[in-house]
Amino acid sequence: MAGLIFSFQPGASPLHRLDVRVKLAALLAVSLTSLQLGHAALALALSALLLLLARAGWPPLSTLVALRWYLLLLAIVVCSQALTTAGEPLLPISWLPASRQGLEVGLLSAGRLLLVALAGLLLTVTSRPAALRAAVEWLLRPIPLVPHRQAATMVGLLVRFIPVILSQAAELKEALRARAIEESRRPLRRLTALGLPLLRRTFLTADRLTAAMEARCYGAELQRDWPSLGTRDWAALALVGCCCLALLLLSLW
Amino acid sequence: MGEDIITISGLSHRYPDGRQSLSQIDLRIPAGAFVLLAGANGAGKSTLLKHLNGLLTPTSGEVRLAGRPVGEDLRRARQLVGMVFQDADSQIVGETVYDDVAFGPENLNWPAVKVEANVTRALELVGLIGMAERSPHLLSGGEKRRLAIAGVLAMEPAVIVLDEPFANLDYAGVRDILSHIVALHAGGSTIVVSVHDIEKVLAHATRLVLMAGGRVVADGPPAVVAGEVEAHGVRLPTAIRLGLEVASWLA
Repeated sequence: MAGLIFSFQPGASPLHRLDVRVKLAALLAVSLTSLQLGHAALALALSALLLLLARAGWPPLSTLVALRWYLLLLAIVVCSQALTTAGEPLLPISWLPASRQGLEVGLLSAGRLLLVALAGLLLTVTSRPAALRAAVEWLLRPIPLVPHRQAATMVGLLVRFIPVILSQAAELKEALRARAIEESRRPLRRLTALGLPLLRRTFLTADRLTAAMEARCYGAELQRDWPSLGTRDWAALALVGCCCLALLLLSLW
Repeated sequence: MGEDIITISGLSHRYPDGRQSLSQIDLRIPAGAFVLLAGANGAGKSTLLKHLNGLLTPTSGEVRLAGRPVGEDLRRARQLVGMVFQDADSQIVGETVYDDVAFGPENLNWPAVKVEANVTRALELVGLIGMAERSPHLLSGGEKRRLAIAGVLAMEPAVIVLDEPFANLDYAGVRDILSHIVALHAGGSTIVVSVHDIEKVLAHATRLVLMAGGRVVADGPPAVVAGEVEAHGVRLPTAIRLGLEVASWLA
């Protein structure tokens, strides 16, 4: 499951059934609200998101395991804040200048980053990639001079082709190792021996992809009819708005 | 056989670097035919196929689909002629199997209900309906090839063109893809298959077109043309060499 982080997980939960535009708006609202949240409100919001992820089919433990590298990064954020912020010493150890204020600020920053990551995870595991791409396209449409369809397609292709390029790189690495590249003492040679063929293969793949997309009529303006939001969508939007407001009030209080 | 669905007349093509890839090709393919396009690497097979739906433009001559020139309406040409490329990995664009099959019908701006119905039917036809939500990256080589075929079928093409459909497949994979091609032909589709090894599919073809050096060097019933293939860099099936009839790989 950890390998499938940020990929769509089919399901029939209420979150899966919500309009993607509502979920995108909710992600935006949660991300902006997180900037103003205090410790208690942040803990509440994190717990709520973990519960919602569990409802969408991602148990809290699996979520945390899948996010382990991200959590490590957050731990580094907390440590660096604790060590670099001046204030009341946290421990009576002279060579470890960690401060209580630094720890608090670090925890707050890490909590906010985790909140945004969990909200993003909730969005991606409950939304079909195509629907997500279409919603991004819908959001970009009113912005002048932005080729909304191309931008949305690029996002989709990036997601699709990262694993392809990585497996091509792995294949090339194996082929180079079979020809004793590890014995080479020139790091630049090792780099170019992998980089140049990989770049050539990637461009070749891009060329073939262009032909295949053209063959399937890509290029024409896509007319997508968006259904208007239903009662459930509006109710969810209102609920998210109320929750954000309540969390802000709790932080102020 | 029905009326000609593909008419190629005087088709020549030269790449921008000056290389002549096709010279004076004349072909008429009736609806419902199963054409095997054979030739060694570099014979011009893939270049010819790319002219059938306007991916390449002729230097001279023209290609007509059901009576109308390809260049007149590229959208119609690409819907009418579904093309399955040799490298399945670089033609799969969707993040999931379902999304990939829906790519073509969505581009045609078909209503959502029709898109869904066509995607479901195409996935059922190629036996991938249970994998609709999987990432294409996780499919096997044969499954990726079937997905590429489904992506084309969902667009309701009259002609299905397959460029080296058996490349890099094991025996089971070849049989699997071949059975789908044969079933599509039996269902009324016109099939054009390009190969450099004719043995796998010869028993099912109704016509064999042999290419060499960008020209059509032989064209006719498989039993008649097969004898000439080795002179143009294509391996003669062992059965013919032994004076036997070529058996189907599905038998």
